Formats: sequence, C-alpha cells, structure tokens
Amino acid sequence: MKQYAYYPGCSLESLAESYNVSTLEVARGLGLDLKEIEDWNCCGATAYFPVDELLAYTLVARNLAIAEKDGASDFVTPCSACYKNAYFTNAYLKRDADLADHINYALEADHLHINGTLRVRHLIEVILEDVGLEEVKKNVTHPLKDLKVAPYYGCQMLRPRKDHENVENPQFFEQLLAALGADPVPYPSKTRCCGGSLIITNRKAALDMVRKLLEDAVNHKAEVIATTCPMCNINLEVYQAQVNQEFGTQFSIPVMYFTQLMGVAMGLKPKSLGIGKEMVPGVPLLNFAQS
Amino acid sequence: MAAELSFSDEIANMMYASHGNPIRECIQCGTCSGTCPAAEFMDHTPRQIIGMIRADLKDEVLASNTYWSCASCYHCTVRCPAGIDIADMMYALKRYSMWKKSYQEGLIGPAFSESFVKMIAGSGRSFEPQLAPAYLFKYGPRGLIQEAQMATSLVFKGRMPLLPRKIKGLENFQRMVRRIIPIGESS
Repeated sequence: MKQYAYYPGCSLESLAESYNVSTLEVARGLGLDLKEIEDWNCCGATAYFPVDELLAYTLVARNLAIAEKDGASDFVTPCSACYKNAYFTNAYLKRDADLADHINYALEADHLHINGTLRVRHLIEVILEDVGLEEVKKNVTHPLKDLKVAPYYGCQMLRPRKDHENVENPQFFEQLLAALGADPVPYPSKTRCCGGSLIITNRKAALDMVRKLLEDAVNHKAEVIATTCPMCNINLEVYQAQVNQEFGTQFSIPVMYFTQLMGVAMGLKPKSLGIGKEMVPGVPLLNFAQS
Repeated sequence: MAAELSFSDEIANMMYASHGNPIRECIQCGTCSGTCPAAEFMDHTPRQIIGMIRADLKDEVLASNTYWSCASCYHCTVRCPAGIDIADMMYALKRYSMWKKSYQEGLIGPAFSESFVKMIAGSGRSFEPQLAPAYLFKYGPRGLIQEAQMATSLVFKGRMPLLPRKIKGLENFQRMVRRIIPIGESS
C-alpha cells in the first residue's frame, strides 16, 4: 500500500473535523495509507503573506521538511489553501537556490533541511490519479442515484495555475460525482471565490459572495453543494444563516465535503464520516446512507 | 548614484514570484476588474489601482481599501493577458502598507494578519477564538450578537475547540521563526 505524508491543516482539527474523519475513512476504504506528518504547524493560509513572504514560505517548508525527513515521496492535503501554499513553496524553492538557502538557514534551527523532493497534491487529485474512477466505481455500494450535486471547486485548488490544467472549466469533480452515481448539475459559479478570509476581514463583501454562490446552486436545482476545501465549506455552510439575515433570503442548502459523499456511496456509516454536525442538515445525502 | 525608485518598481520588488516589473506590462484592458468577485466593494477596481501605481499616486493607492479587499482567489491572475500576477501584487501592497504602517484606518485585514502571525509564532497552530479580540469589536452590536450565536451553535455541535493546540517542538520552532523575523517574548 502506497504511503502518503498527510497534512490535515488547522481547520480539520476544529470547524472542519468532519472533513478529516471522512478523509481518513474514505482513504482507508480505497487503500490509501495516509500518515499524518509529525508535529506539523499551521501553513498560514492567506494571513502570513501580508506580513512577511519569507516567513510564509518557511513555515510551509517546515511541514514539507518533516515529511521529507520521514522518507515520504508524496504530500497530500484535503485543504485547498494548504495545498496552494505547499505546492508553490515546494516549486519555488526547487527553482531558486537562493530562496532554498534562506529557508534552510531558518529550518536548521529546528534541525530540519528541505530539498524539494516531494510531490505535492490535493486529496482529490490523489484519488483521481492514484486510485482512478474505475476503482472508485468498484467501491460504490450505495450509489447516490439522481442526487443533484453542485460541484464547487473554489479557488486555490485550481488557481494560480500549477501546470497545464483547465482553470476555466474543469470537469474532474463532475466526473468523480458521476462515478458515485450522483447527478452533477451545471454550476457556472463553480470556480468563483467564496470570499475566503474576507469573512473575517470584510464581512459585507464575503456574505455577498457567498449569497451569489448559494443562489446559483439553488437556481440550478442542486440539492447539495459539494466542496473540496474547509474554508469554502465553512463560508457556504456556517455563514448561510448570516446570509439569510443580511439579505432576507431563505437558503437552506446542505454543503458537504466530497469525501462525505464518497463515504456514503461506499456504504460507510454517516457518523464515521462526521455527518450530523452540519448547521444545515445533510438530509438529501442521508437518504442514501447505510441504515 | 541610485535614482529614486518609482512606486511601481518598489511594489514589483516585493513580488517574489515575478521577475522584472510586470506592472509595466498592463494594457489597462480591465479583465481583472471584470473578473474580481470583490470589485464592487473596492474603492478602486484592480485596473484603476494598477493605473494609479503607474502614475506614482502612492498616497492614493495606499489609502485605498482595494488591496485589503482582495481574497487571494487568483482569478485575475490566471486571466490577465499581460501575465501579471495581480493577486500577488495585492499581497505586495499589503506588505508595503504593513511595513510603512500606511493603510486605511478602520480596516480589519492588517490587525487580523498581525494577530494571526503572532498566534502562530506563539503556538505553531491556528486557534479561532484567540483571533477574535483583534476584530470582533469592529462588527458593532448586531455583528457581535450574530457572532456569539454562531459560536454557541458551533460549540454545541462539537465543532469549536475550547482549548488552543500547541506544537510539541515549540522551542525549536520559535528559534526557526526568529531567524526570519524578530519575535518578542512568546505569549
């Protein structure tokens, strides 16, 4: 069984704990061995970069260096912001010896050294590339037949561009949902931003951005919005009530992690996937769950 | 004898991942402004800000809420026909304004970033409730009540941790951080 250095990130220890447990359950079911990085630190999300760029890279590099020291070749994280930070830190220090020197000077104080040998990917990429849709289908025992799902990609999983991927109209999330038996609805806003940390620093702007995403999903008859990032999920789910208060709307659409959809389709128990902790109950998904 | 740098060059110098001065390549097409999901909440659109940087309107740019309204979604970056990493340029403006302490008064962004970095330097991990004092009072009474209601439901659902987490190797971690930025007594 191939082993991956697993970086959950801070959100997955608190508000997004359901994403962590569902990730681990689904990975186990698919034969992916996720080994949590020992004593990892916060990747900084979007909050370090306004203060000091070198510090931002170094804090991310520490986690990568610990994984390297442990002999890992693959780094995987379910959080889009952690992924973006890890991916670019790794890529930049590989191409820039000067940056690598600066980072390694700091890491030395923590008895670490980074070479940039890891392959950094988002969890959904690992599932699609290393497991594959055919294998995923084989694991589906409770198909999410006709469940209308809005595939919400968000930002940082796709952007900035990492390689030659399709950043304007990606299809991989739809393909994964279809493999689970679900019916992915057209969702024109699927790569539009949820507001990220503006939910704290510019509440008015962020709530408006969330409102537009909810509206688009409802207009396209989605019963559930599926996410690949804890920040997206928190903004769309936890702040749905505030959107309703601010705009007089009556949104009540469940927002679930893609791993929770996978887990239900694979016949795993909802409780083991962290289902039941939503602010907007995941009823449409629960209809398919193993009883 | 060094000539004084233009504001555009100063900002370009703070964009690590770009080379030369990409801001000069802007053709003022406005794709960024049309793409930006936060543009309507900005004093000046991204296109205007780039124009203003190039016109050396430093004070006006720094006084604008534009760059602190950027959510770092990189939609402008991937669409810019001139290849400017505009989201990164917004980060450079944030850094410049933090460095010079010259941002618009009343913004939550600078205080949030600063307390976030202090929190991480202190414990290695992020812990939401610890951040709250930095910005909560700015929401006004209604916002406070909304926030309290939400926090209560989250605790009730078992989603809000009540104790902060710390990494184990904190001492070495802080030595590492100190090699980059000076941090005071870790608190």
